[in-house]
Amino acid sequence: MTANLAALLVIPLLLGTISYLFPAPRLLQTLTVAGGLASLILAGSLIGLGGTGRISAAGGLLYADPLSVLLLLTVALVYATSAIFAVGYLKGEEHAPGFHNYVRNFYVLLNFFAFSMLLVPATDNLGLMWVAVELTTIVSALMVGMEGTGAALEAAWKYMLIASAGLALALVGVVLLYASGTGILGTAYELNWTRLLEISGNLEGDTVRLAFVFAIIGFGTKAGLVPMHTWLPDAHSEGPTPVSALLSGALLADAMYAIFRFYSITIQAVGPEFPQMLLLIFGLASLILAGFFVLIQRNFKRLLAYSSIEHMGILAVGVAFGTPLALYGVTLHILTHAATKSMAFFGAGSILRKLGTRETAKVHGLIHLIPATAVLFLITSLALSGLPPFGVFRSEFLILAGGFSRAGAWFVPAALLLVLVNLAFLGLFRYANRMVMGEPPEGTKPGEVSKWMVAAMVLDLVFVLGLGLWVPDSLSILLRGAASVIGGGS
Amino acid sequence: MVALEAAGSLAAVLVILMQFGLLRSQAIHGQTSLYAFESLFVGAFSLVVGLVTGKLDLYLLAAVTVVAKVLLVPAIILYLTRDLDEHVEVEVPLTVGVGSSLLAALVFTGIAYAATLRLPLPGALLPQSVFSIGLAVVLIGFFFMITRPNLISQLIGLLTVENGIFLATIAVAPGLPLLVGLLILFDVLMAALVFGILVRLLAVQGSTITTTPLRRLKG
Repeated sequence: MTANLAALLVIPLLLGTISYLFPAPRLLQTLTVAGGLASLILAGSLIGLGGTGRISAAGGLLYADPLSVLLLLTVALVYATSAIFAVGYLKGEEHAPGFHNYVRNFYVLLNFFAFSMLLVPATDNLGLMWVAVELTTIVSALMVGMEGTGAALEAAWKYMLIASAGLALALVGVVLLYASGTGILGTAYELNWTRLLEISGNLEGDTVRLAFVFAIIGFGTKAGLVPMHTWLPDAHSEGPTPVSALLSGALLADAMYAIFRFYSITIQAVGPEFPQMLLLIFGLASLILAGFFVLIQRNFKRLLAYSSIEHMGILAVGVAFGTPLALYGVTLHILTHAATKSMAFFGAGSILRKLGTRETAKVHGLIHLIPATAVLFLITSLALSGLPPFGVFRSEFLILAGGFSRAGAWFVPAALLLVLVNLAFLGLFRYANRMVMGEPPEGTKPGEVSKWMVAAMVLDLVFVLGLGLWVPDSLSILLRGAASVIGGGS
Repeated sequence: MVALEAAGSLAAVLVILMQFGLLRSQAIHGQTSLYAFESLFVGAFSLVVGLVTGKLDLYLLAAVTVVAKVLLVPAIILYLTRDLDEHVEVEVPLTVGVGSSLLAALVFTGIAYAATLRLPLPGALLPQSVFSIGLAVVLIGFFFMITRPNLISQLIGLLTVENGIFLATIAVAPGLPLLVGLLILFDVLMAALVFGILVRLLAVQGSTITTTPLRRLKG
């Protein structure tokens, strides 16, 4: 198991280095697809860790518990599908000036991006985790600005300023959490989750509270929680499509993961009311704002970006509910959202390539133009809006059921969640329907953009649909373990 | 020991004074040199804490801070802005005037003190007010970034936020094993992003450094 975990981190690191040294486009595409799939298999093998297993090596620098494995699986899935999609994405650009250079930068950054995102959940050390989140920022901001257009650079600048500000606050959170333990562990100790959890009852309560506030604002900036979300729609819509998928499916999940880790310690130290209330406020704010922005979007990549904000809101609210059922739903939702949203971005990216526009109004009749992509795009839109029989429906249903099962005033946020989820459904479904049906724009020829793009979406579909129909026992056990980790069980 | 504590507090106070000064400076060069001085005091603070704790890596941090932030970064900023128009040089537009900015900064300082002064922080070696000062610097830095619609000023704002974080973290957790690594990596982040994005942004925009053209993406 430890070897698998280490290999999972080494693969993208190695590929990133190779991409720098031997920048032959065909080689890099093949290797990265192989590496992505290998990561997915390795992450899948870690499911065997079960509900209570732990991996710990090198003094906790390398670590995995069920929650980590869930995140590793999520990131690896999006990494693999993005690598496949990227082959199609780069096709047809071969003769553009500077293509060679672009491909090299693209694959160096893509692989390092995957590495940094896999590192976030794979360590017990809180400081190292912060470093990993920081690495994701460096790499992804550079990728967002890669296209070199004014809009892309503007998005990258905005992302960089806001995300760095968020990271700065997150660092204060990390340091405060450290300070809360110095009374017991002395002024110099290794900052490990497991260590802090053991003594969580004796941490300085007020300091932990403040640390949690900093963590939720700091990492919440990376997770796109309202009102720290303003960079997100820009970065997600202006970056290259494989990057949009990685940002939305994997990076946001990583940032939420960091918040969950803080949460698990905070509830042990100061009780559930304070952290749950904060998560509820940020979560509902995200749901409300994103729900309305989904309704009025005219750019379909931005539409998907706002939908991501909404889904991060759902995760936050789900954790705020705090019941085992809701937490189980949250863990499943991380996975289903990643699969569904990356699939949606792949569809959007194919459409963008085909028609050269991000404007929803200019896209119609896709079913006649790119039938396979159109059908898959429609499916993923339905799945994303939370319709059965797809995975997102199952996870949202579990979160809602968990919320309603809590007595008293918790009925109100649960009902609100139900309404807002349906609002987003309306927005998504309306646009998707219009884009897929009708007559195609004049002067366009039918034909898929690339088989690779379709293949990436089909691989995602296995998860999007599969997790809706059936959650395998081994995965279910893992998810239950992950839910109990979020809830503060050691 | 008492003398060292006093020196540490003095350095922290000088840092926040520079931050206040930043709010009334309207020229890129002025802002850059204020930032350089601020970084110098952060370096001095790190040195003092190093002397108190006897930790070698804090000396290292002080040295890195002086080389990178007092010398290199300001030099780079001056280099990047060498071709700019004279009038841009003289005046950075303000969306909030100097007087109101200073008042706001006072309020932020008050908030930072109120939020943290009674916090139990057993690991802190220096007077706890240093942590509050660090947070105040962060808040003022954010305010500065928001109210100065100019690329270079926004960058300087972010860099001063980083200075505030340095101050706060060193004050609270000088014993944290990874601390120095974390802080230096933060510098690397800034450098990578500045070279990767700012330089290209300046190239695309031509000679203008106001953020007014950055209005395409919204909603």
